[in-house]
Amino acid sequence: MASAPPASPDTDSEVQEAARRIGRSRAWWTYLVASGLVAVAYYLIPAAGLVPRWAAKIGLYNGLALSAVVAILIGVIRYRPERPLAWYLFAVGLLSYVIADIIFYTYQDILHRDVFPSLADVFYLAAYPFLMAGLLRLIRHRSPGADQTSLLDALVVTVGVGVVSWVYLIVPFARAPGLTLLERLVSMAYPIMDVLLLATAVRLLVDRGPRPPAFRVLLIGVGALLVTDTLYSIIQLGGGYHTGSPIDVGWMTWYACWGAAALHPTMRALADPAPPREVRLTRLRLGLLAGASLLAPVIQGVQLVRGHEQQAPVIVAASMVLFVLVLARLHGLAEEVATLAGIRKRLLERAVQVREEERIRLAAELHDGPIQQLAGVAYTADLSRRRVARGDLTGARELLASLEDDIRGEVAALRRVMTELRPPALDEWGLAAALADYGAQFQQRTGITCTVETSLPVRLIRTQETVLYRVAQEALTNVAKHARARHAQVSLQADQGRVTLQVRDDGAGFTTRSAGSLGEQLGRDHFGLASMRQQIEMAGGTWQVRSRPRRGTTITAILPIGGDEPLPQRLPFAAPWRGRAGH
Amino acid sequence: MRSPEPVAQPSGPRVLLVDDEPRFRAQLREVLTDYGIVVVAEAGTGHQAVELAGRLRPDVVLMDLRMPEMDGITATRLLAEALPSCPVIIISAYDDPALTEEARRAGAYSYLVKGCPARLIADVIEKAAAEEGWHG
Repeated sequence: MASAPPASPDTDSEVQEAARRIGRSRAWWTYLVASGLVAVAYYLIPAAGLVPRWAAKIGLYNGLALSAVVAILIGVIRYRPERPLAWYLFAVGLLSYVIADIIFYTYQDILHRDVFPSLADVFYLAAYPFLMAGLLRLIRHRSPGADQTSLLDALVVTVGVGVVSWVYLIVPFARAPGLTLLERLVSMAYPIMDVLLLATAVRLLVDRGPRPPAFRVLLIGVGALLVTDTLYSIIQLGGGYHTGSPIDVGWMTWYACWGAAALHPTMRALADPAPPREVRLTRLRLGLLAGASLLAPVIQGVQLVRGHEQQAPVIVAASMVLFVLVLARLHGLAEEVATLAGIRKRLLERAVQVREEERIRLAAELHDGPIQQLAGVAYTADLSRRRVARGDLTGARELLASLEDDIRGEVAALRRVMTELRPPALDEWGLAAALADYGAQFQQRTGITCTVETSLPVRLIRTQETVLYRVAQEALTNVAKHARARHAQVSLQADQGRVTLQVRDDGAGFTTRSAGSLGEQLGRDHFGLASMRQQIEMAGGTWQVRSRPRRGTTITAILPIGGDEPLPQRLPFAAPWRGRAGH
Repeated sequence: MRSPEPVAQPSGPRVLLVDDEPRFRAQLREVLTDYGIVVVAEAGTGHQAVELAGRLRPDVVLMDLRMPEMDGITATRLLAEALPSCPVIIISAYDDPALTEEARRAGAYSYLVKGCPARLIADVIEKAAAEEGWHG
């Protein structure tokens, strides 16, 4: 059954390969550590009097910011993401920020001139649209089509935080004494830009797309930028910011995170389209939405208690918007519940149908095979008896020999039926052995080369073994029926408390969107896909199909290892010796 | 000690054997021949059965139920209309009263279950060749 593995059909595997190949150097980690050292040096060197603070600012601080731009460009060249525009936009945004910083600190620390607004503000504010455009590009690629749920969630958070920003930053800047109109407008523009950037970042955070390490590091960077910007605005309202302030570490965190994200091998997968799946209302998400929804009335209460000026019209308007958004979300949930009920009904119907089809198939198999053959055997036995009675021992011996062959053949046929119903290898030797057996049978039956690679040092609980076996069976059935593939590859790996089953082929493939959500799969009669997914999700795991036209299909099922169920028991009969080592 | 069973000369009723399983047909033909039944032809589908029966005019047709192209019930119905004097004996793996009734309504002479003694099959064939009507 040895064969060449199929051509890599999906980005995941390429990214994993890249991670294996390049991850050894841990460029991203080295970059993060180096950035941390630069940040420490930024505070220690001027404190020790070795260089003036402005020199540290320009040399170390801006050097770090510039290094993030370079890291992004290196990341794009090294990992060649399919959609690099987002990263270029990030680089331009960061560069704009660096230029603004250099102008600002040149005015403040070298020329000792307090110019506001200045050319620095033009570059600072110009950075935001590039950063937002980059994030929006990622969102667009990761969540193709409408993702109304994530959009509503992002809007709820944005409106809630927007009210806070309005009351505590935007209005105070608008009413700050001694400012010209231009100074007011520019001062207000910063928190407004931060709210817009937050909206984009939250939309990215709550989407359905993949969340590899590069994604997380990138979002930590955005978080650091937003928090630091907010602190800066508060400091500015209170009295003034000075070079070397502790909050500088926030911006340095942003630079370091974005540079590290670009240097992480998984940066390639950031813009990959998300597989269609329902957005789940997790506790974390619910808490986030509840907190954001309550921000407006809480602020009203705080203002009332502290006797501060009320921002009633804005808070009332924001509360109304939040109310409408929450209602829209509720409506979406109600629709989702109705859809799930429909899916459940169709799956139950399908389960009954499949069971009956299976019984019909089994009955037909028994009719055409064992019953027919054993009836024939009975007639041959009758004939043998008559020959013996006549003294025709030679004729009888011939018939008995053919009877022996017939009976052996029927025992083998009945064993095949039994194996199809419940493979003994699954109970006796476990999932790895059962998959190896099935792969060999599949190759023999279909002519499609099938490789089975397993690395599973422990036995799984019976339910998990059964579910994964049936999913592999269903996936290979799909390969035989639809893929027009030459090779199929089944892999079973255990890692970090999870077991991953992957079935890949090098066949015709399809557009992943045509697979659709669970409901869409059922609607399009993709019962095989729906059934696999349902089984895995009911067992507490995740299921994913990735496919592209002419680039094959990969089905991945992941289950957490373990459970309360005892390990599989051996069948109550002695199994034949199979000579398997290690099972 | 049992008395030796005589070799019956194949001079009994002429039978058309219809079953889609060649191996089963061969086994049944051999044993029936030993009981003195003459198997004049074999067919693998209902279509072939109707065509051969019209041409060879056997005394009895021994018919399976589940076959490709045309099932045994349909073929029996056609034969009952076209050759009412040729009794059809159903021999099936199914032991089901509903199927037995359906076979009777289609005009079959009798319904036997595969695996029943060869002697019984031979007796029913001889009886069918000698008379007409349902013998369930």
